[in-house]
Amino acid sequence: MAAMGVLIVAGFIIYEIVLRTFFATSTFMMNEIVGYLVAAIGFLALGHAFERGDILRVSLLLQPLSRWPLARLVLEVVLVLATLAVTGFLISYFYGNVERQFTRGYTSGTMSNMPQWIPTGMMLVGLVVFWLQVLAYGLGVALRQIPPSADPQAEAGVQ
Amino acid sequence: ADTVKWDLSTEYAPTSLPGRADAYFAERVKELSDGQMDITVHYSGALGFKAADHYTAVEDGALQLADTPFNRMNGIYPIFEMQALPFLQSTLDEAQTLDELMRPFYNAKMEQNDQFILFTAPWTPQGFWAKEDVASVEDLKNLRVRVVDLASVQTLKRAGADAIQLSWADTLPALSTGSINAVLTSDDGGLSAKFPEAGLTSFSAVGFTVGVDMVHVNADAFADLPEDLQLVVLTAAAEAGDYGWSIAKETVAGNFAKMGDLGVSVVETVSPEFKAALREASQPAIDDWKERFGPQADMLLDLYQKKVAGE
Amino acid sequence: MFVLLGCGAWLFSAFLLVSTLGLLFVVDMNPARIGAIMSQVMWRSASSWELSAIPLFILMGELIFHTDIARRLFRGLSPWVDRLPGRLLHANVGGCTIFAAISGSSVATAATIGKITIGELDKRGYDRNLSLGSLAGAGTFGLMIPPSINMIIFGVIAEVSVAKMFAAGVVPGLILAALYSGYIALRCGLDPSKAPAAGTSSWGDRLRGLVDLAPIMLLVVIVLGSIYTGVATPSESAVMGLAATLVVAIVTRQLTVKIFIEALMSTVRTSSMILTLMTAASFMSAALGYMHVPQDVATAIGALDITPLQLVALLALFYIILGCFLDGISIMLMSLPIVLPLVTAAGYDPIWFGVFLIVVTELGLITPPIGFNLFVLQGLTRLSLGRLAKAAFPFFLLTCLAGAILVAFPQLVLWLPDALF
Ligand code: NA
Ligand code: NA
Repeated sequence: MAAMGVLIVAGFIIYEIVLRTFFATSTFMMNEIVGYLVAAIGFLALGHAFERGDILRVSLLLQPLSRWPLARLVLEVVLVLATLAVTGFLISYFYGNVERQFTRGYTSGTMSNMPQWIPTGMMLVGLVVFWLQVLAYGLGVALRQIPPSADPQAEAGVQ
Repeated sequence: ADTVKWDLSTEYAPTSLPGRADAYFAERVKELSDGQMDITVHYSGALGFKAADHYTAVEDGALQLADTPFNRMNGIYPIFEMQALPFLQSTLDEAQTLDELMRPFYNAKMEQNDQFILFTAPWTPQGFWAKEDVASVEDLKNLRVRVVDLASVQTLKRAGADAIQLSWADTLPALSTGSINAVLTSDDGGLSAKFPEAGLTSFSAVGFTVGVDMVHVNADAFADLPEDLQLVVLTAAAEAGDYGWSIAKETVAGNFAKMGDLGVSVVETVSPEFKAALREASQPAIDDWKERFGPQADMLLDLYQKKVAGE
Repeated sequence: MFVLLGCGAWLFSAFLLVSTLGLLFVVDMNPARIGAIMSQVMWRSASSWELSAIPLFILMGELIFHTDIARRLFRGLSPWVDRLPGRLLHANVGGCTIFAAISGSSVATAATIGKITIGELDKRGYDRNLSLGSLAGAGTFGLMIPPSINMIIFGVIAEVSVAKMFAAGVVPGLILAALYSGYIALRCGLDPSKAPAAGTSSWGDRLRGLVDLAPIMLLVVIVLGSIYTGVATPSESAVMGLAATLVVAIVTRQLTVKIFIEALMSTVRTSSMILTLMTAASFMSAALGYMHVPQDVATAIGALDITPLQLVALLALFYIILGCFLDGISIMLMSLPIVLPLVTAAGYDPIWFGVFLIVVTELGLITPPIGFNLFVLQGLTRLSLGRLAKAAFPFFLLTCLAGAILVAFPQLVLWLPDALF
């Protein structure tokens, strides 16, 4: 979905440039729609990027700790819990915003007259998917189904 | 007691007209409260909020105070758009009349969302910054003009110009590359953005509308203040409102002379025919607004027209 | 903050956690207010349309990487730089300098050029520290060489002409590039093992090289042309570059559906990493804003009774420290209302100060813990942040040197805008 977003952004800007250059008109909403799509690209792909290990972490401690698997495991679970807590906190307030925009019928007030809950809802979905991915990873590590070293291994890339 | 610390968010610079009124307000609160209350003004959107976010941010108490232009509140409730309708108000006096008349209506709506207006501060009236004078419908046809809100797009498209919604940050680069050749904004906004240096050496004061900013406060935060500080805030607000409107009036008087010094050609008044044509082009935008607002729109418009006519 | 990062927390959630705890305990805010601030500020930052250039330029870099445009670039460049110590290492500096003229963002510059050069340089046996460090540093040229998002924002806040700001950045940008290239040449001259041995090339090789350089030059001309003819605004130029790259890839029959999808998915992951980090960092900026940190420090500096030179030195230090934690735009927004009057009162030209400020905020991009060019490189190489910061350190010092040169010779900044306007 996020990949589609990149293509739509490119297509939309080209369309706007063509309209402006050759037809002296405009879509009158490019900035706005492209902004929504940028948010969608960033957050809809967050879960996928996490799964593939593309979400950065700094691991000065993780490497030496690999000699004590239990400590490594506990640390990993604590980090997962902290991440779940703070993104869960964010999600609950973000949900409040989306719900308010939906029930009060807030729109963008521009040519598109876009109901605001649609783009914010997309970001919410992305955050929830990310939360679930982190949860799945945390469970996997805690139940020793997957090794924590399957994580984005910062030092492993050194040659 | 501890000093009460509040934050005020604005999208504009400290040198802009509403920005100066905000600074004045913060200064007066500090003086009148003997330093017991300290308001930090975050200019240029430094806290990360844009004007369009202010309404909900103040409702949730994320901000105690915010400076928000009425034309950035479309999409929330149609009543706020009234202050930004094209040609409803072309002078600072008309804008002030409308503001005073509508204040109870605005506040009645805002109370439902835990906030109310403390004071307002205007910009100077809006006209066309362009390379050549814009004095007739013919002149409009050559314009690629940057505008900010929906009603302006609708109006200018209909009048024959090519209107483009651009962010302020993209406006100057777009001017320098020629993808636009005009900007609809206040005389003051154009001067502080150095439009004459960017090649826009003409200002046509069509009085498209007058931008007005409101400074609104979270009602719970206000209720939590001790009573003496509540009175301080209200007093400083009344003073800042007077200050904001009076510096705008002084600025309008001085700006035309200043533009003359900079070699800007100023069309101080446009022909009645041109204004009538623009007014007519704005009708669909106004009808559109009425439809969204509902049947009471005409009632409010009548009230305002009578007041302006001095009845 | 350092504890969290040291433990191996994901950067995205670490930023959020630190900011939340800061507001909770330092400002004594209630959780509902923090939640409201976090959710609204993050949405606003996530939906900024100016950021659209980032995924588009990254996709352009991916496509160049997956086709033979990148290989041609190096093949074409090779005969030209044979005599120069460090040879193709200069491709980073040169590539970033040229790309900076297309893009207004340093992250897009580092990500695009990095995708093209890092693998090739590694394969050819160039020193990794020099190649990574010069890329991290030269990526920051995106801010200095016009167009530049930061200059536009400075122009708007300081009420100086953006066109003059753009002109003022050209000479300092070239000085930076020269310093970087000089340093690379010096290091490789002293220690030839940092670059593979040079072959010998004739003028014929060089002319054939030009043919190989044609596709990349064509891309540059198209994008620059679209900006300066007014077809696209600087924020839109990314799409012109992308479209041109696609056309070249299709015409030369190098683009298969598989390659395209691969490039697209990789783009999406990298973009997601960068965009969500920027969003989380925006909440961190808001938290520091609510703590009034930048304002209070700037006010304190203003209260000191010091000479103009001491003022600039102190401000530089202040901005370098802030730059460790905040991005350049937040730094400007929060501090300029207080700092700008101080600086102009001390007799400095606002345009000069704008350029100087951009030099010092460029440093923030290559200092941990929050340094976006380092994040980009981490995403590309999977090396640790500390390792990358170390590689970038010499270039950090070179940028400091450039700042000092501008203080000593302000005319380097002001000459071009004065001559043009
Ligand atoms: Na640039
Ligand atoms: Na940094």
